[in-house]
Amino acid sequence: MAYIISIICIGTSYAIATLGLNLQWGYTGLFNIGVAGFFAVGAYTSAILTGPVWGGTIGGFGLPYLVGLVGAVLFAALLAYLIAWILRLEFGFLAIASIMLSAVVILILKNEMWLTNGVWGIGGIPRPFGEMLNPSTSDWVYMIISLVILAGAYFLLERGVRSPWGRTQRIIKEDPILAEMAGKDVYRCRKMSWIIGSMYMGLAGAVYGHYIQYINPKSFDDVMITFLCLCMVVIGGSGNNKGSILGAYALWVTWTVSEILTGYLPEAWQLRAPFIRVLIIGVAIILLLRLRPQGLIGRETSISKMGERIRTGRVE
Amino acid sequence: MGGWIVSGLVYGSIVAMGALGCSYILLIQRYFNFTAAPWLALGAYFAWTMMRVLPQWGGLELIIAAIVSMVALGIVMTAADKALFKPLRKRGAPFMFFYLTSFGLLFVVRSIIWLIWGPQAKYFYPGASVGIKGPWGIMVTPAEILTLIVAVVVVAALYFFQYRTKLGRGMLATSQNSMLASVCGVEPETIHTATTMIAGFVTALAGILYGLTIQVRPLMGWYILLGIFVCVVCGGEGAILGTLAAAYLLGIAEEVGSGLIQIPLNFFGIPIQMSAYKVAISSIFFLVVIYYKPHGVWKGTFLER
Amino acid sequence: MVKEEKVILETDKVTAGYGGVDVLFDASIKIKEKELAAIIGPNGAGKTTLLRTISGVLSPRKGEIIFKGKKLNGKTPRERSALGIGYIPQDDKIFPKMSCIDNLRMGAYTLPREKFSEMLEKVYQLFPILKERRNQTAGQFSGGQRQMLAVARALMMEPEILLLDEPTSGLQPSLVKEVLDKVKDLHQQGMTTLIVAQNREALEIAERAYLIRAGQVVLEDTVEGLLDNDQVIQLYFGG
Repeated sequence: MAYIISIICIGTSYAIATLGLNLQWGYTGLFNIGVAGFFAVGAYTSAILTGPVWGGTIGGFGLPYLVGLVGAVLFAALLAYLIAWILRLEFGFLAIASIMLSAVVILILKNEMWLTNGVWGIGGIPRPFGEMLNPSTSDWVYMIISLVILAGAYFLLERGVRSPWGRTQRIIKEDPILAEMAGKDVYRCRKMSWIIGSMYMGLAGAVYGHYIQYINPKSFDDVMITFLCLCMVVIGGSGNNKGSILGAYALWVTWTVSEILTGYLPEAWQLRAPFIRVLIIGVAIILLLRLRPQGLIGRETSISKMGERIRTGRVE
Repeated sequence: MGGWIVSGLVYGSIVAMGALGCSYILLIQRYFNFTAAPWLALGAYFAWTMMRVLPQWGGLELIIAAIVSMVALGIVMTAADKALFKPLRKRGAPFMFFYLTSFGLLFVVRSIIWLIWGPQAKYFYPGASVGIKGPWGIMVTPAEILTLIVAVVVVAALYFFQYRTKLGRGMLATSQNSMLASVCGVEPETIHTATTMIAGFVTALAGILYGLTIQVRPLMGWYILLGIFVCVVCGGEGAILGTLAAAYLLGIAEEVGSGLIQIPLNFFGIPIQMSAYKVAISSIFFLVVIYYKPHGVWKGTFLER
Repeated sequence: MVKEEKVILETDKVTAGYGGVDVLFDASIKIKEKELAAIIGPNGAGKTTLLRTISGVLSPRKGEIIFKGKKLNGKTPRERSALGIGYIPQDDKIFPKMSCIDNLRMGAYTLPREKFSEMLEKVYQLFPILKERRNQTAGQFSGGQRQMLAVARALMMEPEILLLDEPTSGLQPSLVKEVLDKVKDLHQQGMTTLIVAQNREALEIAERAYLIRAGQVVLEDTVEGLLDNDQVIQLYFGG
């Protein structure tokens, strides 16, 4: 039972992150390969703000949970803003910069003992109502809390997407030239999308951190988070919020279940197991892209049919 | 200081090889090939495996292994392109699909490498490399000298190919005006094949040189992928000379930069190890360059070619 | 029309478009050997699309294109230029980062090496300025020079028909005359020419013209007949 709660809680944090990525990628067409960076930043910010004093770090402010979340979100937003300011969100540059950010973040996490306790990580991250409940109830409660956060995040996003702002975003993604001519401030909209998406990822990281209560740089390393989130967006169908959430859970369940299954393999295969899983998922994603690009659920229809035609009307 | 510069140039040479491959693909196929990271590792592993099989012929075995590996990787990358990316091209898919597929393929190839060869670092020539004392008392290893020479030779060869052969001109034409190129009789798929083959050659070289000068391990490509990115963008897409120049600058910036910054850090007792932060330096380098010259550093100079 | 001249190019009910939207419907035209014909019509009427289907850059959804008695459907642009179709698009007509002579080399991409110098000389004679500026980057050429280069590039293959898409668009009046004079010269030397035109001067050098509107061929007449036609003047030169 506890296992199911674990799947749901972690799946929920992935879902939140995927929503953010979906906003950046599916709705606005921004390629962010540094999801892990924002995620990690969120987790650590919240941990530092809310956690007890830990191993010589500057953390241990012991502030309440909400403050931790808010701090995570704001810091992620700040980083996103910096990147947007320097790079002006040029697509190719963004991809590189997001990797860079991730890499630098991980480096700092690993090396700066005074801030993050280096590779030993930060533990004892509290849960809301943590002291009042025994561990198993606390798990339940946390699951409910994280689901509530997810629901809130989802509804906020859905409202945003259906608002005039959201429509503008879709037009920009499908036909930037048309949007520009129609007088929309393309850059500002993209920037907002970028920042909000990153905020979601930071939030997701914080939710994650408070669940597992102990984080170290290794948990965010190796691009796995970014890879999984990208896959989740693809599975759910880019540009589709419900799809993102479902994709997130679906993939996470598949991932953990495959982890259990490979646990039954003979000893010699144990070490190789993670790579086999990655291999299979990678292949599955590529096939999905080839054969069913709309994802398992299918994306929402374009806002502008004409825009789509003009856009795809290339002679070559 | 001299040692730093040489290290920087060596590093730059390796990155340049990877960057040239990505630059070509970016120029002709219009996406950034993330998969270059594991591809270059694959090239290294191919060569390493061949070396296990060939007898010691005083260095000749390295050349044979390298050539076989380059051709093999070219074929593999071309096959992957035809199978995965050509359908996307035909469909006129938005570029995001290319990026996603490339990214997915990155994990697939990386996993395969890990599954076949395992995580242990491997060496082309086990046993430490003997340093030679060069001018100004700088220590270099034979592998490093080889790297420097190979990079220059390859760049020269590519330059010649690009601007003096029919196929090379066809590629240039396709990148500038693909419609007109097809009217002139350039066959698009031939150009794509040439692109992926060339990318395969240089990417394999990058892996082999990295393996020679440092080591062969599964994640080797990932570590320099960032440098490759930076080079491609700063050098200008398709700019053969510019990419090498950018790579040299990047390499020197990283080595010299981290070395120089370390001095005041040590002086003031700030416990930051700059060598870990070389990535940060290339990032800053990149950000500064892009801020001032978003179209590539060498635009308007002869290095644009 | 006294002599019955041979039809060299024919489009038979060609329907074509982009991304599922058709912009050209059932277009049927006939071009005779050594003729200078024009296609006129308002913006977006489908003139460029028609040329694109003939050159092979765009595949028609329906209909057939016949050149020198051969059906062209399914043939690549490379094959069509080998058959003798010389296409000069309206935009993107040169390779901007290549030198002038390299542009001409591209024109000779499928020619055997020996023929290259021969054709180069011929082209230089027609367009001396290209010889003068042969090592300059084509992107630096002025509008008129670019047009000449574009035509020269097509001439490298010794085409039997030239398809010119709006050769004078964006040029100042003196250059318009210069370019059109060159087209007339080529025509006098026996080149079949089909020119898409937006202005009166271009129409005036032609013998016969088709009027395309909203994707359909609505009128076909000699140029005198068209210029006499008030409707045409109104519709076309008025807009």
